[in-house]
Amino acid sequence: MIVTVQGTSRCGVATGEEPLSVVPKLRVTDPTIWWFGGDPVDGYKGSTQLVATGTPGPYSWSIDAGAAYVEFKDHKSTIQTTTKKVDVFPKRDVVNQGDVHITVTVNGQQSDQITMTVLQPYSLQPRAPVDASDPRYGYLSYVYYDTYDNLGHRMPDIPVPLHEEYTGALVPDYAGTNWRPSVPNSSVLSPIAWYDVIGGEGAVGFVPQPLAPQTPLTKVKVDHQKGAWYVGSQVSGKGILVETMTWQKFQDHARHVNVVSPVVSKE
Amino acid sequence: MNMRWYSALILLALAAAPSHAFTPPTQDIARLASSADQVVMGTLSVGDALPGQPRDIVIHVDQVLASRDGNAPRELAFRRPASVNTDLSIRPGAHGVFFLKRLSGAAWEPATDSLPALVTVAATADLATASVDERIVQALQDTLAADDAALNAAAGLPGRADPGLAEVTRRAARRALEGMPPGLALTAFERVAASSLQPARLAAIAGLVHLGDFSALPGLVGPMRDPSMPEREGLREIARELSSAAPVEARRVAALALVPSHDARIRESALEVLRDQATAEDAGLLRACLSDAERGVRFNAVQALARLQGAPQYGVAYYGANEAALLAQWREAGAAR
Repeated sequence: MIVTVQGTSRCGVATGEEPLSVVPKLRVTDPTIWWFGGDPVDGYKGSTQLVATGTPGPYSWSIDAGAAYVEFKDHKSTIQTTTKKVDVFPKRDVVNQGDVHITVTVNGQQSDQITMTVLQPYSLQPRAPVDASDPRYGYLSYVYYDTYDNLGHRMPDIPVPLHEEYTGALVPDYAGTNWRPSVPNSSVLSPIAWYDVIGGEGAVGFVPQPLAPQTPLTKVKVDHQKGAWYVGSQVSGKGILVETMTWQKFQDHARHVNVVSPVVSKE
Repeated sequence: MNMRWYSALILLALAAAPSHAFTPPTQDIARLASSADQVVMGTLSVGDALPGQPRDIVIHVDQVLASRDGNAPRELAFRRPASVNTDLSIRPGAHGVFFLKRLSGAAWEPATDSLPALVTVAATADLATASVDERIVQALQDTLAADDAALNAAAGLPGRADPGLAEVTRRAARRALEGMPPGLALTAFERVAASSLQPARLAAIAGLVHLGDFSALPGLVGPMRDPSMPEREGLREIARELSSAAPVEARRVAALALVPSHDARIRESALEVLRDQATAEDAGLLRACLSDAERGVRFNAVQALARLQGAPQYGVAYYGANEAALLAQWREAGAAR
């Protein structure tokens, strides 16, 4: 079927009736979008728009591959529109780049595929920790991390919400210790070279007495607590789980131990 | 309110504050500077309330960097805001830059969740006529160039010989400087890169590399390849910054120079760059990296070879589940060429 429109003057030359392309073309404003487990994060593309060109609608959009990773509005994988645009939203991270294929069909003619990718915070990679003395707590240990996405790239230097959760009780390692438990925290920070700072305990009345970092560091364990790190939200239970670990406090420093990152494995 | 009781309450609050796992927020210095009513440099003290004026944080101002109303107070006091939810973010005696918003009249509140927002040494230059950005950059430059004792004093721990605390302050100054206007930041980094103080010099070079200036790199290739050289972490920081805003070819050349490093972390950083910047002529080197002892190096070599062949990038999980097959596939792809 050839679709024609009434011709008009083009560059001063009358064109009469001319055929339009009958196969719609697709373009996408950004083929890569981010998933943070729910709410989008400022500075990261949280949805994108596909635009059909070449022929008037109505338009039948279809996620031909990767419906597990993206969706149209109302959680649909196919949708009809009268306008030439459709929004695409992330559902989760892709396994490999370009795993999402979308086409549009107009008047029975299907476009070529657009490929898309959904990224998400995926893992933490440590930098060398730093231990410092502190008159209030004996020490402060700074555990540095970079955050990587599911394709193994360091995330861009754009702040993200992040929080920690405790997944176990505080377990004493030192007989008679009275070091106190603390409260999980959250922040909005750059995913590059961010750090968790862990204090010892007050100088008076606590067993054992915290020490400034020694040379070499002591191996005297005080207590430990299992936990997890989520990127994408400051709210407990939201965001992407990127690491499980244990906070281990020693008498003169602290570390993240038993670290597992990434946490989720996909085939 | 009885002031003695109030002070005791503050002490109690300090004693009961969480001592564990606080993550500091990232500061957008340019935005803070433009939105604050008052930007001052000074020293923080806690708990020295005055009669009839309940307050628990006082900034003893030594420079006003910017003031919306033109006032230059010697002292600014305010109650600890609820957003400043842990005393780990406040170190009495710390010196630095504070961004403040006026609540009403003489009442202020900080615009950041940590105090000071930037820990800096006291200013060494009179910059009364400079812009607020220039004055902040100067403070950060002075801080980056400072030795451990000066940095620890700035952090509120004078007399301490603690390289760890100094390093935390130095890293924070470097990160803050990287976020300042590039023209100012580059000049500041260049000045500190000429320092004879090695940690300061390496931090400044990392800042330069971050901003795309690789001119100091050739002289560091040798130390970066040799894991027995001191200041290891400072050298690794430089390698991590190779994924910067520099021209593609400059990044590629710098990364290629570091591939032979005996330091696995530096090789890994080099391959992170080559993953996106390697060209067809690097394919042989990339194939050699498929046999590297470091998983991160192998991973990025596979990704680079895939990209050069126009294949999609593999997800981390997919690679992990199929590493042996992918390594074989990309070795064979090279052999077949």
